[in-house]
Amino acid sequence: MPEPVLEIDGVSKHFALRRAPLAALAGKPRRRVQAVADVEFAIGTRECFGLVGESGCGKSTLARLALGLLRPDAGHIRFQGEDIGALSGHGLRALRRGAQMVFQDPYASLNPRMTVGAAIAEPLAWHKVVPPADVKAETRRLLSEVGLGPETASRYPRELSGGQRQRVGIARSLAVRPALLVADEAVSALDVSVRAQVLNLLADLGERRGLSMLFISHDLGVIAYLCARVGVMYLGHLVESGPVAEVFRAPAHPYTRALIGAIPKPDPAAPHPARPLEGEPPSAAAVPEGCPFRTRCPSARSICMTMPPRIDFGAGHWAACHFATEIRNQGAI
Amino acid sequence: MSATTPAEVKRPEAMEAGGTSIPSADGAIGRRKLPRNLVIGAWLLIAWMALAVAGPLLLGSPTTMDLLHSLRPPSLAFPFGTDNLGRGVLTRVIWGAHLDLEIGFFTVAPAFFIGSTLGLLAGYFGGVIETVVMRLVDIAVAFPFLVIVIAIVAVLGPGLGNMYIAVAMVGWVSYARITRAETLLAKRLEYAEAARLLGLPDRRVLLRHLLPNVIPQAVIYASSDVILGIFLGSSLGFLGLGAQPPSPEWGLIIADGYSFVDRAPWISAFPGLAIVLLAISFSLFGDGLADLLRPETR
Amino acid sequence: MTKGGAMDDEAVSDPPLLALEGVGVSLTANGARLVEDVSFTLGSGESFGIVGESGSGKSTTIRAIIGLLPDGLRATGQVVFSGENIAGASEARLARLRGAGIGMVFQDPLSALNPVMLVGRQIAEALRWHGRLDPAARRRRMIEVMRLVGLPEPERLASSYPHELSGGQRQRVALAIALACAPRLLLADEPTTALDVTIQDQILRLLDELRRSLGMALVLVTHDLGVIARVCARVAVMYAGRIVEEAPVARLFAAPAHPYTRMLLDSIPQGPRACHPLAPIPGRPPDPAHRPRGCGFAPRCPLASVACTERTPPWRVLAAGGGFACFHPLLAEATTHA
Repeated sequence: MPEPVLEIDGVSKHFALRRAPLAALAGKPRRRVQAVADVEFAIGTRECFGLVGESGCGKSTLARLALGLLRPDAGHIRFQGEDIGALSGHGLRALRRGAQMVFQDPYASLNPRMTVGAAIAEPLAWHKVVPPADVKAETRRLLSEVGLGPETASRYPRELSGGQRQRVGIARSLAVRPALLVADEAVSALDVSVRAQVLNLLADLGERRGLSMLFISHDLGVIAYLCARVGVMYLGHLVESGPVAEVFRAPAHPYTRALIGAIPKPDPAAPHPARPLEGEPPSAAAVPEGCPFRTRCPSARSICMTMPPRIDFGAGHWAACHFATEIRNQGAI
Repeated sequence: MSATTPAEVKRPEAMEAGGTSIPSADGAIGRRKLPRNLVIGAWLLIAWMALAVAGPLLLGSPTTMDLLHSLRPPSLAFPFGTDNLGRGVLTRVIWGAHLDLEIGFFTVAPAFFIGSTLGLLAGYFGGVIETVVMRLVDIAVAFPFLVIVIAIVAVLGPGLGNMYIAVAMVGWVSYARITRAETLLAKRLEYAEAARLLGLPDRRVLLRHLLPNVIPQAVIYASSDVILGIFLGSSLGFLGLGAQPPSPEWGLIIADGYSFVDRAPWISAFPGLAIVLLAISFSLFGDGLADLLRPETR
Repeated sequence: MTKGGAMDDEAVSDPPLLALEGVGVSLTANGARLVEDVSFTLGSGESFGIVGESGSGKSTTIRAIIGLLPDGLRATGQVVFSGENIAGASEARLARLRGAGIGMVFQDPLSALNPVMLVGRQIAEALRWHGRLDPAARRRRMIEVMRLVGLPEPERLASSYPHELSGGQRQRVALAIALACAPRLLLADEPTTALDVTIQDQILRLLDELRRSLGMALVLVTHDLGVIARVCARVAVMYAGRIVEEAPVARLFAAPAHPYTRMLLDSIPQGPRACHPLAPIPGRPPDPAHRPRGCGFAPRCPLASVACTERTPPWRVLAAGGGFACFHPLLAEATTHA
């Protein structure tokens, strides 16, 4: 069994909220925001794993944990077999070359005072990916690989469109020749037609360079397009995971069902789900006891006050719900 | 009759027209033109500097006394009149130009560098550094600026050099606040995160990525701070705590002319006018700079 | 299940509530046309969608309807609301209309609300400005409108500040402000784009429900074709400042006439890449200052011919409703009016 590129093993992360000085003196414990709770999954070589969820579900925190920008409070993160929590210095540099991120906002992800060429050349030179004499040529090659002409190198980000900036961001992260690319809502801010271009670009790059990808998005269609497997997150918990076709065809968790049902389909004849999801997600500082979804779940019962177990359906498909089997048997949305 | 959709084009961006950026609803963003105030202000400042350098070379000494011609009103021989010691006011004003330009520079530059550096570090690293810097700011800000400066000069002794030290000791706080606020904003932006993610060390992220984006606000502030510096220098000169006689610093000239303001108002009027004109030049330049450096939004 | 189909219960001959005729918007600085020759009509209680990508001019069009264009833009053409041409109306007349006859909801609820004013007060302010209700009646109406948009515990929520509310709640507040004076027409510019998917679903349902129960017409601007399919009865597709196609929703998705519409639909992921590879539209939309002659889409259109680059295709009306502007439409047979 080939070693997975990325292993998230029981990872949790919380953030402490500031408290008033009086409360601190009174010895009251700090309130915590549970951003990520006991998440577990793995990404293999050349595999694209999708992570879907709405705002506040912890997917962005998880992305930063996976890249070593944050340290987990519990659990282990292994990149190419090595626990990244223990890395520093030389090991950390290797991690930086091995895993990179493409950001959501094409307008904020590039330094406005740096030309495109300088932005791409910087990591090339810093990590000595190529000899100094070849940096310019490599920059041009990278630009061409993402579909931009060499003249783009002398431009500033403000002169480019959103799609072009996103391509520059991709080229920059590819400069260090990573094995894993984390895309955090990388296409969400783009127009529909540009989005399709960048999706194809990412897919081609993945194939050509043998990249693994952690693709984070709230858009199920995009995940279905690119990813082989998907994980669904809610309030910091991974509630369902499995092959994309399986999960979308026969979701086994009520939240996944609700999510799929809520997405407006570009088809006027598509039926609307009978029961929409009501209410708002609870605050991450006050995650409900037991199943985090129970406060909004149409199928909630008293047993949901206890943490639901993982019910396995084979082929890597599982869901964390007491009633996963019944939910799954409801079939397609 | 289906459309033959084209095979994926290798370089779709090659089809864009011209390569100019997408215009916003506010108007097309073309090549950036230099704002008018900036150009006018810059030319005025260049003229001032030329005057400051060339003037002394062309004119006589500002200290030559000629008691026979004291307190003369403006005339052809003495376009700005003479003062009580018979010295030509025009000559003195022009000789003083370089002094006041220096005052403008030296009251601002040390404060700018010290303050911006501390603000950048405080904003980026947070923690102890930020706490220490910000508490120092709080202490400095608790006292009225002018009172502290005068107090320090009184301790160190009068003179321009000591004035510069006094201003630097107190003036850095504004720059620290500005750059800290800007740094706090900038370090959250994705490009700063991307730089760290690419493995660049803190010092590189600070210098190459954050600093160029964070410093414009401080620069804009500095351009108007210069005016305040000039006023301060002249005020202290007027009080006898800044430049010392017989230096032709404008504040000093105004002070000298103060006792004669009813008989010979031109002694104080012309250097006063010069201060105002220099201030306007800096003001125009600063406004223009602010317009130019205003953060580009999409 | 009707979705605000044309003229639900009204006589066919009723005049339209809103009619745009040849509306154009240009930059005063250099005359670049951001919006060109936009015309459509809308009856009472109907829902009309405008879909397009960035730079298509859809947001500019909707702002032009109500006279909320940013500085430096100038509008031409006719905008007839309830029989009155409001295109050149005075600011005073428009101010009386805004919020009362015509309500508007924008994309970002956080910046649409005043951060230092209590939410209830912002809703009541709309009432104060337009109505003659006394304070007690205003408060009653405010609570009523808050309930209408589905805000829980209106009495308590009215004393909150915008930052204390969630995104979905803020958008409901923005809706409440827009609906406070029971407008006959609601203009919504990307009202759900900034919201989570499940919240978006709630808001879209709410819009639909309100439209039906209040008999209010809705113009919805969005880039999301799914939202259009969900909420609108008729839709116009905009590209490079012009409407290139208009159709009842079912026909637009099933059999689009304009190549851009077809290619836009084809750009939406429908499944795994291996099964449904996307063929994206190459290139980018043109810069309004440098629009090519003829059809704006020609440089990117696989069906473009020489004619397309010389003349702008004229609008052709379809018997079944709507129309298109193209020399090479995708219809097997294009039935046209004379």
